[in-house]
Amino acid sequence: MNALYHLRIYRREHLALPAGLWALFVLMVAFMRGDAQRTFDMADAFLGFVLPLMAGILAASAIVDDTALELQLAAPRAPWRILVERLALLVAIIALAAFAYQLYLAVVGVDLSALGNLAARQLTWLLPSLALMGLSSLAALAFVQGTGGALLVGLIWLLQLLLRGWFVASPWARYLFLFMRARYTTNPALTANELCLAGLAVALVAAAGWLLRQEERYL
Amino acid sequence: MEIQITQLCKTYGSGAKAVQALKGVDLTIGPGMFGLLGPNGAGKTTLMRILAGLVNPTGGKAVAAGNDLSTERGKVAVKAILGYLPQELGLYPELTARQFLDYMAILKGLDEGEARRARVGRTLELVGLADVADRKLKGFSGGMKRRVGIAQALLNDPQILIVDEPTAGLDPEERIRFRNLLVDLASDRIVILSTHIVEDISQTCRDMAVLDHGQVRFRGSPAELIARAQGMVWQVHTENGHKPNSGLVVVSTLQLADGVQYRVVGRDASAYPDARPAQPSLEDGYVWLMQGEA
Repeated sequence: MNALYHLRIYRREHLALPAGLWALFVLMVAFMRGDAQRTFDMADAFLGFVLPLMAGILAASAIVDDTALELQLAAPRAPWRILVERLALLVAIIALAAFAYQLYLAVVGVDLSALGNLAARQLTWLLPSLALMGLSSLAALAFVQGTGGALLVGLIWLLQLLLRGWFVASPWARYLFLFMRARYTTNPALTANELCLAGLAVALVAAAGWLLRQEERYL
Repeated sequence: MEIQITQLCKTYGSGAKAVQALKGVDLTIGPGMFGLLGPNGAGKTTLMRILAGLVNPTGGKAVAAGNDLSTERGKVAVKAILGYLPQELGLYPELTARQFLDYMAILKGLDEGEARRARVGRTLELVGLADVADRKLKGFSGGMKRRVGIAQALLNDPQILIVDEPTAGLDPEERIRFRNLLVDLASDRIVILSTHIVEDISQTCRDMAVLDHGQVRFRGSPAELIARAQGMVWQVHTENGHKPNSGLVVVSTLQLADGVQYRVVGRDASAYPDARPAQPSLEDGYVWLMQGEA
């Protein structure tokens, strides 16, 4: 019931972003049918790059842009629950987009086995999405502004995309590289990278939850 | 049940940019309607937010119904028995009034569906919104939104009701209706009405305080504040319309066919031989107090 209301109060334009990009990448794959490598690259780009960026941008406004935040915080419940419920809704939206896209890819015959088996390939979008959502929430709460969180996520995403060679080669930065499964599935550091991303996501969300306890910053 | 506030302080920021919103406020508030009056920037909203468990004091203590508001446990306990209508009420425009209240009831811990829906229905009737319960909030007037705001504050049948500037922006009819509702509600709980509109207090409260620059300037009944201005209120009639000065503060102006009648507050109106003494109102008492004379 609570989740239903979370969905109802969700701003429509935020739902339009994943829907629009989903449709765009569906069309792009449709136009490239017949070229297996290009359709795979397109599918990989959507799952491993575009969806996590979207998740991060959407998470930035999940709390600080709430029009009734003062009423939410005045309710007798721990503030971190607001954060977790909002992020859970976003994960559900991103997951829906990811599953629907993979279903479409299966129907048109795009092979995604290079990303791992059915369960493992979900990590392509899930882990970077969670990490960027955590970062975005924390930054938005720290800046008390959704735009700040979205900008930081965009910057990190772009830096990692442009410097992906350096990230993969670096003995420490490779564990924080968001696109390891999307681009370097056979890299021996993949498992450690994914464990680090999962841990990082949990730590960032926990830090955001702690920050939200300082309710007066958001009034 | 009561609220005890002892030497409460709140400072925003630090260093040269620090702003002291509350400077050692002492108050005890019992059941009934309590009015908190003061100019904009007096610290009323900060005090209301501390009592609502939303802002942490930087000094002193606030205890509501035995719960210390400087602790996390105390804040959660107070929120469970609290109804709060903030000054700037944000709603979700895409929800109907019924949906919004149902959602707020869930957040307040009213989990049992049937009982919750019944409670929402009763609250909608109480604030006179039953007829428009299934209309989206984005189509509501300012007064209707305020009523939705008070409805959400009442969902958990709170023992403490805090309403911050509830009548700002309401038309006269809505304002009277709102005041009457608050008086009814105050019969069996603590209701704290924070406002800068003197009339709201005079019509509803038996107990009040005036806050100014973060400090309590007056604590007592409206009648006591009125008594402070006894002998200090005058009516001055001028044919040419010149505003009285000579240390007098104009409280109100009445345009007449043969000139202008001013209601003024001041210690001495001898500069105006036609000045007639008048019975003070709460507004006169407040103005006299704020002049630093009372």
